[in-house]
Amino acid sequence: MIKLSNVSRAFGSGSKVVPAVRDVSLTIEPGSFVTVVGASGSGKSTLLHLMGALDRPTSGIVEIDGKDIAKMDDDACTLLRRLRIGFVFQFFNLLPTLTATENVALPARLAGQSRATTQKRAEELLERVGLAPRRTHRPDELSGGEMQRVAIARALMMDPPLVLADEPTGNLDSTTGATILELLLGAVEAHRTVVLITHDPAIACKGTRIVTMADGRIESDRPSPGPSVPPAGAMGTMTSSNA
Amino acid sequence: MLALLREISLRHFVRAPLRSLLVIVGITLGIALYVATEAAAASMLSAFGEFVGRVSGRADLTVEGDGLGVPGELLANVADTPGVEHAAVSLEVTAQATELHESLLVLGVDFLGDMHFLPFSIEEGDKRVIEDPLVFVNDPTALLLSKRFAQRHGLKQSSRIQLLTSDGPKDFFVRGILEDQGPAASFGGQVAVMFLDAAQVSFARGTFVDRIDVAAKSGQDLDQLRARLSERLDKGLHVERPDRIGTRLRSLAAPLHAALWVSGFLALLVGGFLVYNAVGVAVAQRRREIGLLRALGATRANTTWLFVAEAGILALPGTLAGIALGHYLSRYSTATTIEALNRLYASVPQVAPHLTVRLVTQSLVAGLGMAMLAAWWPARRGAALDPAIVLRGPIALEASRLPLVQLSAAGLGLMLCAWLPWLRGSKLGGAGAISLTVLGAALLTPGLVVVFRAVSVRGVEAMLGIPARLGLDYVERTLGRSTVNVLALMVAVGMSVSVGGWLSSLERSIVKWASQVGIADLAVTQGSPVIDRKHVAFSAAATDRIAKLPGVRGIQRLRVLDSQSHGVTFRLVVTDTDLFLREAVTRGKGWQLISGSALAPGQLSDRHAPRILLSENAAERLHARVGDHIDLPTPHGELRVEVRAIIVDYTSETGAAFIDWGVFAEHWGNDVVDGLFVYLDASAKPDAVSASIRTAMGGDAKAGAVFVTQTDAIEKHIVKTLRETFSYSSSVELMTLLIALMGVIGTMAAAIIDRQHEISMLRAVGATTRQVATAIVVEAAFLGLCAAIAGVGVGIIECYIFFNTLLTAQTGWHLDFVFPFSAALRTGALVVATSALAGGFPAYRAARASIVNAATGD
Ligand SMILES: Nc1ncnc2c1ncn2[C@@H]1O[C@H](COP(=O)(O)OP(=O)(O)OP(=O)(O)O)[C@@H](O)[C@H]1O
Ligand SMILES: [Mg+2]
Repeated sequence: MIKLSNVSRAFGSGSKVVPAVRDVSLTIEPGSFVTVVGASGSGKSTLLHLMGALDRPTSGIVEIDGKDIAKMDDDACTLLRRLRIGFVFQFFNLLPTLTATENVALPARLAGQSRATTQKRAEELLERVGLAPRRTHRPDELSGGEMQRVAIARALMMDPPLVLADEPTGNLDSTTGATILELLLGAVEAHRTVVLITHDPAIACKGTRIVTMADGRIESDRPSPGPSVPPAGAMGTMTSSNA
Repeated sequence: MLALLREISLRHFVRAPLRSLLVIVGITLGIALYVATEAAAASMLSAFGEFVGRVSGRADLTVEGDGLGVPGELLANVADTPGVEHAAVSLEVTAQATELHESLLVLGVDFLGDMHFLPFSIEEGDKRVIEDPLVFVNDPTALLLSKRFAQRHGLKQSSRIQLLTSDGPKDFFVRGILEDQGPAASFGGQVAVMFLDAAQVSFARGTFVDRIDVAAKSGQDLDQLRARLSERLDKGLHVERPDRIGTRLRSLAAPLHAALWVSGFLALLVGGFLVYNAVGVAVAQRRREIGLLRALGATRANTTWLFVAEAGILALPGTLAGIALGHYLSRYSTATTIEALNRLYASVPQVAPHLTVRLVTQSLVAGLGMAMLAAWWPARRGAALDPAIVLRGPIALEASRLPLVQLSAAGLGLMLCAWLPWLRGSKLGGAGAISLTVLGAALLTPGLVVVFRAVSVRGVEAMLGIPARLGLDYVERTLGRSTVNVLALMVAVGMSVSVGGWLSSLERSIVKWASQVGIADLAVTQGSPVIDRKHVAFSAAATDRIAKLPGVRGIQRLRVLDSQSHGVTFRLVVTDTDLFLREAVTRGKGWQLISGSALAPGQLSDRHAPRILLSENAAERLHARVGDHIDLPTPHGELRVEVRAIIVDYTSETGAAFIDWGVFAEHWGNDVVDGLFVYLDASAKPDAVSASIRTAMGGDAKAGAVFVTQTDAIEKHIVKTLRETFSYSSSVELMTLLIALMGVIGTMAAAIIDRQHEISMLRAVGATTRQVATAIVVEAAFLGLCAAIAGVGVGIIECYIFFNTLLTAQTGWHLDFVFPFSAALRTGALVVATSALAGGFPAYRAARASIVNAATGD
């Protein structure tokens, strides 16, 4: 599905170079559910952006579906994102002027499909995330959790094989967070590949595989110890207060 | 606060060079135009001062007449009046030195009379000119030149100089050079002196002079003397204090002055608009910083002040550059202003514009003040943002809650008020109605934008896809900012459409009139292609010469002068009415009657029962109807004439009266010709006759001497002159449009900064760069479209009001309103297209920007 080989990404230039991701190699198998953890500033988001063809590496090769994104132009990357990848971010997921349904339908509309043809599927998806009664509401009339659920519905709109989520539960209470997670797990059950960044050890454990980042490198990459066992280490204590 | 300014603002100046440049350019442009127009206005005033000083000189009172001037033989009568110490005639002609392509003020001086008012001193040459004037007096080709003019053209004693006289170009010889003092230093030193009689002959003035200057005996009460003089003189002559001339001139030129003032003010406004926009961008870009400052304890006032001070700092170099640029531009603005003055009001010299300390100070204050004032609004708005919301990022709708319904209702109300009956019929009322319309439209604009969007959003989405829909959504989200831009563009479009409508209506009326009246084969003038202040009259002898040329069947003489009746000033047009009426009948054309029965030859030319025609506006101003009698002043008392008919005529905005040549010659005793219409034999070739007329007038290849225009060219010429008259307003139009568009670029740049996160998110879920750019371009084009629609509406209303109140009040003309389709279409399309283009640049930058920066939320 995704293959990173010796990928580095540095920001800035001259004396102010910040290496965000350093020499990372990683393969993500189709159908797997990978969670990424790590201290703030360790390079998680940068890594996710590279996997989602939102960003290009400074060095190394990023392959998505076996295609080297360095060899694709901007439009090709856009098409790839539109058709093969669903994104969920922590903030700014929705366009404020569009209704919930319109927000969900956005990727399909961008692909040129008409309002009428996208409407039905968008409403189905909203129903699946439990927001059918909120179809015509705009984002400023939705709660944070509801907005995230709309974002997940949108991520599934084009039925993509890959879903990338960057702290989708970061600013939600634990119950709402759990609902969001349920929905993502549902996506995994539908044989999608899911990569999820989180600070919450309990959520991290749901993954089939946990990648821990530190200082731009992969510190550890191991199968999940199982749903009930929280991971040891400083990370756990540092972030558990968030939840 | 100063530390904040130093540490924060300076870095922003460097980090956002484009925005800093926008502020500086805005101020530079505004101040440059301000300086240029102020300098032109100042030089206009100083030209007037010079003129008044020259004209009034040392006189205590002046005697003036309408039209022809004052008969010179009245001098003795004036000089004899008790209480008069000195009296002298004065004659001034602005002559053209044809070979040098220069204007020259020729003073006709009676060296045999009282020289009290003309203290010349001869520097070089024949000093006897003053001591023994007979030598000079006996030579009609002799003249004295001011030193400055002579030196500039390398002219010396006995050099030859050619002047355009009423007999065509003639050679004159320098008999002396005048010291640059007193009268010789006036008119920018472009002065020649001729003996009075020679000047009267050369410039077809007969025995007339411009004025008689009077100096009173010491201790003489001026009002008494004035009354005494008035009593002794004919009714057509006025005795006035010389300072009244200045007052009259100033009031005549008031519209020009007002136009200059308005342009200067507009320029400042426009500069302010650019600054407003640039600071708006800055505030958008630095919302987080503002939130942080506020969270850390900066007050609203502190934050506002920071932005205002920043604008002030950028304004300083902008203002200085503006003053420099304005100084450069003022050369052109002054030259065109003086040119207009010369053509329309009085002979004034070209004055060099100079930067006064006052103007520099004024500009500095205006530049800094305008920039800081323009910055204050967006800065205050930025400072008013809730720090908590700002720091959490733009999550919710940035609600711009304008009270749309109230605003629209108020706007509609104001626009309706513009149609109140008591605003009709007066200049002030008309100006009020136009102001109400513009103000009302301004209040209506936000509502209009919302309605246009609501109406078009589905169609646009279906046609151009979801990105276009998002573009329209943005317009409504930042309604305040969108409205300011629509307003600026609307003013530009409105101006253009109303000027277009006014121009096309005027053009149609005038061309129609010209084709009815301009029936001759050729028109002949001297010095200027039209009869204005620059043209030179023909002598009777010259006219005869033209009349006798082979191929010429008849000539229709034309004389245009100012006359006055019952306190109303208007143009008196003297012409050969019988010839015109006969020629008109054979062509099925002629004067278009508004009232009165059809005209036949002989009806206007009866010397014993003089009858005249009045133009519509003259009749209105004189309250005269067909059959009424009015009194016209002649050099020999008043002449009672009957109004025979009222006709369509656009000769003058003050109105015109038409009188037969024979009647005029009999009662005025003058046969000078301002211009000629020539009718040709059927077999004659216009080109050949034109050439022979030029030769007969001695105006061979020298341009600027004799103008022979073929009739079909006259129409073109009129249209061209009309358009030239309006070229100033069309360049203002263009300027406004340009600046409004710079505003669109600024707004779109601000909008994009506001929406960075959204754009990244769009890109993440699969929007191509083209789609992002489409959204932004559609937004900009929509702003342009709203402005085009509103502007065309406002422009047409403005134009309509202008026609029905202002124009009628000012000129008495009732023109047919021609809807300016082409102007509306052209400007509308131009605004939409250029707005879209203006949006294109920021759109391109936004679409190319890296996606990641914003997606992370920082
Ligand atoms: N656009 C950028 N320009 C410069 N530096 C950047 C940029 N984006 C990220 N960085 C730097 O790269 C490093 C990794 O950032 P990244 O956002 O990937 O961390 P993260 O692990 O997602 O942190 P968090 O848990 O706080 O979200 C950080 O030191 C950050 O400062
Ligand atoms: Mg992150």
